[in-house]
Amino acid sequence: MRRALRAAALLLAVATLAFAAIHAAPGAPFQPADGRALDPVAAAGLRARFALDAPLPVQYARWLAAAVQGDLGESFSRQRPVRDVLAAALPHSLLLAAAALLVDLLVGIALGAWQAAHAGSRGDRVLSAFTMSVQAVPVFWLGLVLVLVFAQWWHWLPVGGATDPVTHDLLTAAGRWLDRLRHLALPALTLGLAGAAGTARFVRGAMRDAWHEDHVRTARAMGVPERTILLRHVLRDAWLPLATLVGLAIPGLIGGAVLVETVFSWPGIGRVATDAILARDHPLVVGTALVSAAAVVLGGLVGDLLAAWADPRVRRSA
Amino acid sequence: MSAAAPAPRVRHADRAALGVLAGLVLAALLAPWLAPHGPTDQLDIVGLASQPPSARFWLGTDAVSRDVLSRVLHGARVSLAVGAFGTLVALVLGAGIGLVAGWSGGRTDALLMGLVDTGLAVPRVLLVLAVVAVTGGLGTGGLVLLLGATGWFGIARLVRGQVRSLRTRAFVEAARTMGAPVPWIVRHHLLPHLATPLLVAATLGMGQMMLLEAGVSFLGVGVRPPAASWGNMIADGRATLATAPWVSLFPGLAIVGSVLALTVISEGMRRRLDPRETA
Amino acid sequence: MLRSLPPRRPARRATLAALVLAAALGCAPADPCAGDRCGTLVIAAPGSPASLLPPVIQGALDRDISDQLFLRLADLRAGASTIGDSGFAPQLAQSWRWEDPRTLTFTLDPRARWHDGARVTALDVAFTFKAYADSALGANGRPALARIASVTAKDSVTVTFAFTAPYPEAFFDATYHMRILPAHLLGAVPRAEWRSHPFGRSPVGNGPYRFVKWDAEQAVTLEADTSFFLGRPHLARLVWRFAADLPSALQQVLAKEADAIEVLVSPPNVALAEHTGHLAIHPYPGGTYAFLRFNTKAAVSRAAPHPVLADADVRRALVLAVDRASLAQNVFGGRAKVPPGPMPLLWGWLWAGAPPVPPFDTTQAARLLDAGGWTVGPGGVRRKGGRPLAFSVMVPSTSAGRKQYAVLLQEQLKRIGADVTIEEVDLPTMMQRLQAGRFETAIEAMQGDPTPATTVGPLWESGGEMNFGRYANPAFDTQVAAARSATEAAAAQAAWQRAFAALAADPPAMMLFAPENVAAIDRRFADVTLRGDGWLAHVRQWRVPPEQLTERDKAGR
Repeated sequence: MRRALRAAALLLAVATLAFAAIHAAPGAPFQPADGRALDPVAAAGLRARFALDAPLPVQYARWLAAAVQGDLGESFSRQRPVRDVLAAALPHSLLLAAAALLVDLLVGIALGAWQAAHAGSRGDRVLSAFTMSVQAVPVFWLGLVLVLVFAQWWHWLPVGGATDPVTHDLLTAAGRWLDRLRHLALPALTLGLAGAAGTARFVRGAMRDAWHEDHVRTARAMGVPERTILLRHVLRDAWLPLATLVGLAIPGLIGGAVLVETVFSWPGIGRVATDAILARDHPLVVGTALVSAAAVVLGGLVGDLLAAWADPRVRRSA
Repeated sequence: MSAAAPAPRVRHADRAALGVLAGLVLAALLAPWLAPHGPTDQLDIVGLASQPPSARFWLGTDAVSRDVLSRVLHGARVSLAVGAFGTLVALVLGAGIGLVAGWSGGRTDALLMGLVDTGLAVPRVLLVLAVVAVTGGLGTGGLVLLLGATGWFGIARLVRGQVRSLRTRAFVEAARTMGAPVPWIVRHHLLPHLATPLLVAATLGMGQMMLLEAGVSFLGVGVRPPAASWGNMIADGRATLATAPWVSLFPGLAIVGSVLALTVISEGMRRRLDPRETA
Repeated sequence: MLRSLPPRRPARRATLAALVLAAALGCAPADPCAGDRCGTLVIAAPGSPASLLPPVIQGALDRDISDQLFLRLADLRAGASTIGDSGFAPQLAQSWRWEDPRTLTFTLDPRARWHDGARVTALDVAFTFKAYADSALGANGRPALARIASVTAKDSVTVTFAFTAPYPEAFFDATYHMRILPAHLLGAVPRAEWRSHPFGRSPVGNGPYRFVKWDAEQAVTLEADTSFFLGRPHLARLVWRFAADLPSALQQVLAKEADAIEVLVSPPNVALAEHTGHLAIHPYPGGTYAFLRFNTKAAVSRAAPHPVLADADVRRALVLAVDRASLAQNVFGGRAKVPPGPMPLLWGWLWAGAPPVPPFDTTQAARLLDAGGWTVGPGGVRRKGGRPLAFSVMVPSTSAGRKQYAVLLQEQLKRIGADVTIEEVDLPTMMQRLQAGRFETAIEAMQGDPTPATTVGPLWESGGEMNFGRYANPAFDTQVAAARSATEAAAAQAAWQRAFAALAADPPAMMLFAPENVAAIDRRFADVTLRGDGWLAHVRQWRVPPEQLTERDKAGR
């Protein structure tokens, strides 16, 4: 209950700040993207229609009253309800974030576990150098290079978008899945890889720590095979910090997605948010800020739930 | 099977990283003497635009015939300065706010941590983009402040946690009961304990700052032309990535190199200062 | 992947059977995709549209799409004169006649139909005019309709336009700006709701293509109207794919995921497209020109003259000091001209016999500045009475080409002793500051329509609403008025050229470039023609020869 209240307060704070910021920004909304000046009469009409000349507190109160009832207003630049814009973009964002998280965890845990088991070996050192290097590459640059190589030069994967606009609807169910996967591969890899490098380093450390725990030493002293120790004891001990890490990774996924969605023309929230800021689309800016804050709150919740599930002490007491 | 095994390698890598970083700092300081051309000199906009690397132009030229090597060298000044000063701003803000929150507790703490949560709830790239929109465009100084002002949330949380635990420690309790003034306690008891984690966080944070500068440049709100920063050089070279890759490749490598060096150094520091690892 | 997976619609065999049957019976085949009436054109576009309802459209992409859905009464032929009505071809109107110089009557084509089957009537035309003239909608081109007094439906196919006064481009104004709208579908919708009305996202039109679907932020699909009254389109399907920006859109075309892109912009992009082998390069006259506008008034106090730029000699010197031909060569590689006046290549008739572009002449520029008291001071910056020859250039952060121009200009002007700073701002900020006069110079680009009469006045006349530099030149104003009232194309041309000569003598801006657009289109498309005022205007005549059809063309057929 307290958690829900805190979450609500956070959302309100983010929305309020976004509202204040975008209204304070210079530059008029409704400017045509081609640089033409808008007919002044039309501009005045639009300002009147969206009540932009009312005092800011009044505008804010109106927005809040409507928002509480689920009405986030009408997007200036997309010319449709903000709710519709978000509803169209959100599934794409969630899909990308989930896929990237999967890449992050699968690759990260596999590498980290292997490194922990072979700590000090040549392979460990090479992988350590590799994961550190990956984390040092700007994420959008990684994306640009992947597009150039895999899409533009080798034609293995599509350059961007979420589905094929011509054939997608005509494919069988399996074909549509494959189409989605092909479009998802590069953006998810770009977004997930940087996270995977961090996860690998983290898992390696956590497992090295676990290695020295008493029960692991005991198990080893009792002659339990090394492989079983790794899977049964060490990896399990590493779960708890990892679960926390998942919660922490989610804001990063959303932030990184802003750049990745632009590189891959991915129709998600990040791209909508960037466009909205550049177009001074007040209602849409606030809407996207709300969604990203909600995602962070949910990410924290998921992380805590995972931690509770992974922590034997909590599990027992629950 | 012992944790001490990788130690010799680490020292080696640390030394290499320090070498790389020192080299870059040196390059930045000596850029005017090292660079064969001025960073904004357009040599011949018709004849020498987008030239590939050659004996004359080691790293090639960009779309308006500027020497890429000279720009990478001069860009080191801007990029390293943006990273360092941005981090400094974040450090000061984060440490200050974390200290206040951790020390005061209660409502102040709740309010400040609420602010931190709010800041962390919005993607940083969007935050920077929005603030640039609000200010109607920023100079390099403004950008440094902005990158710092959006980068302190994590540090504040770290410091607050440390202060909360230090507060209950015997030596701090003792100092308080003896009526020592708070600034004195902060200077003599808290800061020495905070120095290590802050230094590690700052080294790592500086790399992140440089990556962020590149990211916002990609969205068109980075360091202003004609000044060169590695971030805006990558962004400028984006359009010609397939035809003139050298324009963005070399500044890209410079960023990767320096961020990597910073990561290795911060790892090294953490390992050396963390008792668990050296055991 | 298509090859390995059968299309979901199991229609292929049935279609084949129907075809055989039809051939056997000797009647026209019912197959929607026979001969060269097939083909799918996928267009890669940067950005994404907001609405497809013509009078609420602001962006060029939205207009490109909706122009395949909604027709005008008559269409201007490529390169034809906008004076009188001889340059126009029938579209929704089958014919027209002038009752008197102020009264124009159109007879609609009785075969014209809305895509829901209803007839296009004269009432639709009268309804459309009321909508376009309504300031609440703020339709593009509304100011040009000011001299149309009324539009009245006489019977179901006859509609009469009454003008307040006769003028040379009356026919152009009556037909060019408005796309006819369905009164039976929109009549009941209050105009205040049009902006975001669902009709704009699933429109019912009367053009060669009908709306199929719109995946938000991703794609819009249109399908040929097989019963289109002016002839069935050759291409069966048009798909627009939306990319985050131009480089991404270009990549789609290079990677064969899209067939066409409107402009390649830079020489490296053209080289890339040529290198692929599957793309044909199609140059066509561009509708834009760009310029560095000087603010003649001080940015702070709007009435006072600008301390540097109010002086016509300084502006002349700055123009002379920039090697604009080399700048155009650097950015466009010979695919742009330096315009002698505010004119895009689209106005080809104005380029013939236009006044010469002032030469690149730093000696003359230096002489002008020296004579004006601007002497070279410390750091190579010229000064006059302690004031440096310094100003800022405002440029939109979203335009790569104009940003490159700003960097080039800065360096060129430095050589003559001007200290130029670059201010990158986003588009809404730029427009607001231009309108408020809070800038010193700015690189702007103007998209012109086929006649100078629509845009030249507002941009450069004293008091013009887009005359952001508050420039005033009575000699120019006089010539513009003469050009606007000229009833012969030759007289109009001469008057415009005199007007532009007056501008060149006292430059309100440094004209920078008028680019030739270069589209890249997949080689399998035949009969491709492009028009400067709408590159897809003739797309219904493009076709793919049957032997060149790809799997993508045939998908779902």
